[in-house]
Amino acid sequence: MKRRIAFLGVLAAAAMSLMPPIVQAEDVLRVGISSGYPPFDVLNSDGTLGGFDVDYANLLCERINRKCEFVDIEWDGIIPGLLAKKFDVIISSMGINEERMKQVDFTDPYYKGPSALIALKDAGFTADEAGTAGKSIGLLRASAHECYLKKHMANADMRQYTTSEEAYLDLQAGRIDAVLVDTIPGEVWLKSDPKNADKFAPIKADLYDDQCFGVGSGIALRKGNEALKGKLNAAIAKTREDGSYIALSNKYFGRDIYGN
Amino acid sequence: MDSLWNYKWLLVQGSGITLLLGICSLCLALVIGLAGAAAKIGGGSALRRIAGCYTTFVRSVPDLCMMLLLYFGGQTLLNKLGTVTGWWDYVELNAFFAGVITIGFIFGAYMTETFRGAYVSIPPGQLEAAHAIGMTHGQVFRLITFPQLMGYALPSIGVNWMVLLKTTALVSVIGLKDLVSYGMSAGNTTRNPFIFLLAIMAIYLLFTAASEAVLRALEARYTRGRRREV
Repeated sequence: MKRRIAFLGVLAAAAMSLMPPIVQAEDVLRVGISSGYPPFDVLNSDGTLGGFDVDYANLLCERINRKCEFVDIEWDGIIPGLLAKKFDVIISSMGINEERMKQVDFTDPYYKGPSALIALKDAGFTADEAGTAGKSIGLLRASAHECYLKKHMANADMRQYTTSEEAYLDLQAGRIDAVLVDTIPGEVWLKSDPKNADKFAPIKADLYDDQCFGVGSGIALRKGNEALKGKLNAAIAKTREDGSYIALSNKYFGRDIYGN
Repeated sequence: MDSLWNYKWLLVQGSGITLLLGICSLCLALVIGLAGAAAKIGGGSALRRIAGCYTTFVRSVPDLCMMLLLYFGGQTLLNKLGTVTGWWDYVELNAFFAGVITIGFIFGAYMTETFRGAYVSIPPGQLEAAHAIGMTHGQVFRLITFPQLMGYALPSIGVNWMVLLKTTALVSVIGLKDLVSYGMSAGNTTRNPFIFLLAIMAIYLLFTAASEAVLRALEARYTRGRRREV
């Protein structure tokens, strides 16, 4: 019995040692991202994070003389995590929209991608309200696409997923008629496997609605963090001027994704 | 398969987190369960009512809801408290710690019922006899009640443990990278989600098989004195 109690004690001690009080250094910028959204947010096999968002965050950190420290968290927990001060900013391809601006602040957009409705090549319907009536359309839960669908494809049957990968899986399985996704990662998905490119294609790849998709993807901060917001905006402008943005964008996409 | 092999160390690391989180939560749940059962059986009317509210409340709220509430809500509350009193600016509520507290708190309610049920199964005559030959309360608990309590409670503890282990997968929403969280991120990144899901399943199956072996051994030990009734 004594041995068992000692064992519990060791476990308790092990648990306690895992929770050292985290000292906050001024020169660290804690960045929240949600991995599993290639090529923007990628989990490498050595446990490090990568992708356009991560590389771009590092560019910005260099320019404001801070060190980026990444926190990988599920998409559903990313805004609550920011509000609870688990990290200082979200740099995870988060679209700027009114809904989110009620909760958080955004910097200027750092890229602007249109959205696409991807379906079977011979699907034979159009990407508007009449065409999508009764069609089942998959999208990322709590995303800007949900807003778009409700507004422009009101009679479609909305299917919500936790990750866009799950939506693609159901599209491949024939369980849904189409997916409503960001065009850039959507194209990457199509190209990732010849089977996808043979079977599926965008019905329309340039869906825009500033009210839903806003002006692009920006960096989210807690409200009232004006000093940091100003610094980040200046850093974004700097990456546009010195060419580092275009170099990075070309590396990932073969073109400039900053938008208009 | 290549992608799975590339990510093997992350999956091992995630498995470690899952196991450690599960075991720590189990320990907390057992402690809460024993205390809760003691309150329900031997406590005064106030204690009994508190324990009753706790088990009813916890068992009726979805685990995910509780997790988000305690982790994010608790953190926000903590921050507010700090700002209002001016004592601190920000205290980090560690994700692992929060996970253990939440899962332990949830399963403590189930364990309370487990231990209460087991206690009721012990024939009261034994306790009376033990007191009659002059044993102290401590001796009765240590020598008579506890060994039999464990014998009666173990099957149900085993079930709770297996459900608990699967509940640990919820922690990914609070930013802790466990087995499921690493597996899903890797699967989405490499666009091979099924292979990773199968790997996760295989690892959980392994955990479950091992748990069953341990439980069988424990059960044999704690029911030595009992005649097999089946």
